[in-house]
Order: sequence, then structure tokens, then C-alpha cells
Amino acid sequence: MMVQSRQPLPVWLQYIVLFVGGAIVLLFTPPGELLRSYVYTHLRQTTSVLTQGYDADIIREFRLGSDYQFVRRVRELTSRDAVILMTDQSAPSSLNSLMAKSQLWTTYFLYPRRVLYLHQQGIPWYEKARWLITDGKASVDWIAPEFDIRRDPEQPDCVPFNMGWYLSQVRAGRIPLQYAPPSPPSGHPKKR
Amino acid sequence: MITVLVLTLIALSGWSLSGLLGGTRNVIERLGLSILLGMGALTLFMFLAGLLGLPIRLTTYLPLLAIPALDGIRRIVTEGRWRMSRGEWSARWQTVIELLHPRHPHFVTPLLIVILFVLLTICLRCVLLPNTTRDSLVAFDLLGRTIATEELFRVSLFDHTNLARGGSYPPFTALTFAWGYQAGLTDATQAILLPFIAFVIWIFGFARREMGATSAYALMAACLLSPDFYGFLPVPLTNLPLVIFADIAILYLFVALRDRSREEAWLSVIAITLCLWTRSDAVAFLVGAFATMLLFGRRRIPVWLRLVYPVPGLMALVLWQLYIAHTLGETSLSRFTTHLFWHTERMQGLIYVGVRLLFSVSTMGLAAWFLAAAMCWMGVARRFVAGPLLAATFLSLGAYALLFYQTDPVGQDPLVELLMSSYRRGIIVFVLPMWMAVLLSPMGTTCRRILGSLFRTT
Repeated sequence: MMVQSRQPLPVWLQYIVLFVGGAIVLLFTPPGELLRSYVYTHLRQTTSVLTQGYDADIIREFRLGSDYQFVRRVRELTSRDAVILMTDQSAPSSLNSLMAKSQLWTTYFLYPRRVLYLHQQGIPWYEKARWLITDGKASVDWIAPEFDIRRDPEQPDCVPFNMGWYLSQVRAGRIPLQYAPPSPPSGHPKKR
Repeated sequence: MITVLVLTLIALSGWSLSGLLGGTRNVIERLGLSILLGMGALTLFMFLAGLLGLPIRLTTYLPLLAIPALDGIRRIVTEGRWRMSRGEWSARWQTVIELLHPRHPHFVTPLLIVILFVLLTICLRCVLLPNTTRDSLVAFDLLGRTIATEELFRVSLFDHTNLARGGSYPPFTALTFAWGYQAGLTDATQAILLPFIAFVIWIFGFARREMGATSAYALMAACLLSPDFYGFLPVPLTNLPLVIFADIAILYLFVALRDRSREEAWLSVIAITLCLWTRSDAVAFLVGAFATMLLFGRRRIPVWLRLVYPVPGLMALVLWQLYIAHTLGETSLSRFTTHLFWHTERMQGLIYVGVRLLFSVSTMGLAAWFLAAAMCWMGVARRFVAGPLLAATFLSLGAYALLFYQTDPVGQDPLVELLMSSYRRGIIVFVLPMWMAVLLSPMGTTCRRILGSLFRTT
């Protein structure tokens, strides 16, 4: 690289033009403003990770909220080879929840556990299902009235996770959002 | 440790591939290019291994990579491009000292500070923050994670989940995440950082060869500060690989047509093939690039090479479509209207959203504005340069718009929403060619001359 030696402006003026001008361009043009907020947000989050010892779990909880806390709870209570059923997205649901809507989203966090919709009876692992994620019993009755887990002799140990109840507890602040997973509330999950 | 080993093997095998093509690339450009080519070759190996029923694991594909990697080592040793005399090393070191010397401010210094700061924030974000992007979680990241665990390409998810959305994308992104997980990375955000860094290295090396160091720093800063470039690229989706390979294809096509270089034309062919190995809608870029080749290639590129240009890309497209037709029972064509038609409202919406996105400073930064100014300048000065680059850019943009015109909006998404999400991500491809055209234009030359008279430049 050849460096040109001429310097028509005094050094202090060059500094002012370069840095002050650059700062004005960066900070006060619209993309600069947007970038500033991007950079600020990312720096704030990454410094939180570095200074407060947050790990990926906390950041996920921070970004995804109660859904992620619920799915972590399910992960803690089930074995890696568990097959978990969940209500279909067509079931009536009052939940504004990512998890209630997407089998793939739930599968991502519960993998290698298998997550099946209630209506997927043809899948070979379906018979091994011992866990059920449901938005209350009503929706199970609505979507699959013949699938009464309390009476199903084939699945006597099937345990429901009442997602609707759990998320409402989290959102009401009764189950705090924090890194240490809360102890399961009494009577939940119910085993029959 | 294993991550470093895999990355080294990828870079070395990519070095071998880029060496086979020859050309006059500098070491920096070739390093970035090698990593990207190596990644493309690795995903191809993994896919073929999956098709042949071989397990997709490190012990399967690392020995395969070792063969081109050995050739890469041989080339590094024999080519000796890293060897410099003591005087050359001293001159380079002197340049660095002068660049950073506080008593002699250099025009490049603030650009360098901005570039390093932006890269640092991106790296921290990718390394420390986990992937929470829904589109990535339910598609490429999930697929990559399951491929890495089950060591198969057709993973169990295909049997009981509706993977049509993520599974219908060509496998480059998912397989990149898969080898990243197998090599010890813990999140897809870390896996996406590797091609991003390689791309930045390539941009600098390429621009430095074409326009000199000051313009290379200016181009890097302009690209990184374009909001969508900064905000959307280092996200574990298909956006980044698409932008990388489409940009490499367009820029090497420009160089090939300008310099009548076969080597660069072949690189463009490989890049556009890898682009189609990332996303099927990249066929629009193939159409734009091929049209440019036909328009400008006469007497510059041999006829057979002009005609062969789209063939590998189309082969990758057809191979993938056959595969998903077999596994998922549908092809990407099912999302398009396959006959041409006229719909005034749709065309108006497309043009409105397209122009709005291109000239939106919160999407493309100032790239489109500067390009418009540069083209006006060219018109006034009656001095037209970078014709193939502008043609490839605008023809690709036109073909990409036509692709969305033919798209059937899925579900309840109205066309405008589809355009604002998907179309927007494809338009980021044009940030780099636009800035490149600006810097090569008479306006860019004049700006460089003015800056050179005021400040020290390299």
C-alpha cells in the first residue's frame, strides 16, 4: 500500500472533520439512528450475559417468555425418549402462545422427545405417549372426544400438562420468571 | 478444538478448489472465498452421503475433506504467495503504524474503527445470544439439530411433522448448522457467524483488488452500516448464504465480462450454483446473471461457456426439486402460478413495495440513493462504466420481482405482507453491487480524488 504524504489540512482540523463528521453521519441520519438502537440493544444484552453470568437459558426465557419456561418444565419432567401429545392448533384456545400453535416450535425445545398432535394416531410412536400438553380438558374433548385419557386403558399413565393453567400462573406472577426453575405447584402435573 | 480442525479443513479444501480455477486473486480475497467454497463443498458431500445411506457424521465427511485439504496445503506451500521479503514486511508494518498513528490521522482510521466496532457487536451477539428467531427455530435450526443428532438426512421429523416450510428449502443452511453442531458449536447463531466473517473478508479482499484499500474500507463500512445488512444477515436463516453467493456470482460475472476472464466466469458459475443450493427462488438471480452474460458476453466469453453458465445451477435446482417431490410430495412450483398473467393491482403493489424498500433508508441505507445520484452523474458526464454490473443488478432485481409477481400468497398472508417480509430479504442482495457500482462510477472517482486531496489515503 502506498501512503500519500501530502496533508493540506492541519492535523486538528482533519481530526474534527473525520470524527465529528463521521459521528454526525452515523448518529443523525435515519439508518444511523436505527443502527444505534440495534447496536445499543445488542450491546446491552451481550454485556448482561458477560457481567451478570446469564446463560442461553435465561436469554431464551427473556426473549420467549412464559412459553419457554413451560417448555423447560416439560423437559425437566420427561425423559429423553418420551412421546408427548399436544392439542392441535385448530383446538379452541384462549392462549396467545407460540407453543400452543406450533408442533415444530415445541419439538425444537423438547428434542429428542417426540411431539405429536392428538390427531396423529397413525404414527407408530403414538401408542407410547405418556404425556399430554393441553390447553385445559375442554379442548381435548372438543378435538378428540374419543380420546379420554382418564378412561383409556392403553394409556393409564398419561399425564397432562395443563399449559393454560401454567401460563396463566406465570403471567399472573405466581410462578416467577427466573433462571432457577420453580418447584412444581402442588397437584401439578396430576397423576392418576 | 474439533471446531478449529473442521474449519481448517474446510478452508484448506476451499483453497484447493479456488486454486483449481486459477485467477489473480489476492490472499485475503482467496481466504474468504476458500471458506465459503469449502462450506458449499462440505454440504454437497453431506447431502450425497445422506442420499447414499451413509451416516452424516464427522468420521464420514472429514476424511473426504482431507483429500482436497492436502492439495490445499500443497498449493499454499508451492504457490508461496505468503512469502514476502523483509522489505515488503517492513513496508506493510509501516503502513499499519501510519494508519493508526494518532499524530497523522488517516481517512481510513474512522472507517476502520466503525467496521471493527460493528463486527465486534455482531460477533458478541452471535456467540453469546442464543437463536430465538421463530422462522429459524422451526425450520433450519431444527432440521440442522436433528440431522446432527440422528446422522441422517431424512430425519424422523419428516414422518410426523409438517416440515414442508423449512424442509422444502435447499439444504445448504440446515447442513451448515448440522456440521456446526457436530463440530461442537452450541447454537445456530455461532454457525452462521462463520460464513458471515468469511464474507466480510472476501468483500475486503475483492474490493481492495478492484479499487484499492481506501475504497475497500469505505465499501465495507457502507455495507455493514446498511441496516438490513447489519440486522438481518447474521441471523440463522437462509438470508446470509443467499446474499453471499448471489453477490459473489454477480461481482465475479462483472469482472469476467470486463476482463474477459474465464476463471472469474467459472467462479460466478459455482457461486450461482451454491446460491441455488441455498434457496430455490435464487433462480431469479440465475436468470438475471445469464441474461447479462448473453448481453455482454459476445466476443468476451467463449460461446460454449456462455451456454454452459446456467447448467450447474439448474442441475442443483432440479436435483433438489426431485428430492422434495419424492420426500415431501410437493415441489416449490406449487407456490407459483406457472403461466404468465396480468394483474394491475398486483403489479402496482409490487412496484410500490419494491421502490419503497429500495429507497428506504431503514432497509437499504443510502445505497439506492447514492446509486441514483451516480447514474445521474454518469448521464450528465456521458461516461458510462460498470455496465455489466448495473445490468446484472437490475436484471436480477427485475427477475426477482417477476418471481414474486407469480407467487401465490400462502394462507392468509396478503401479497404486501409477503413482499415486506420475503421480498425484503432478497433485496439485501443488491446492497453490495449497488455500493460497488457507486464507487466505480465517475462520482465515486471524483469523491475519492477530493478525499485524497484533503486527507491521507492509501
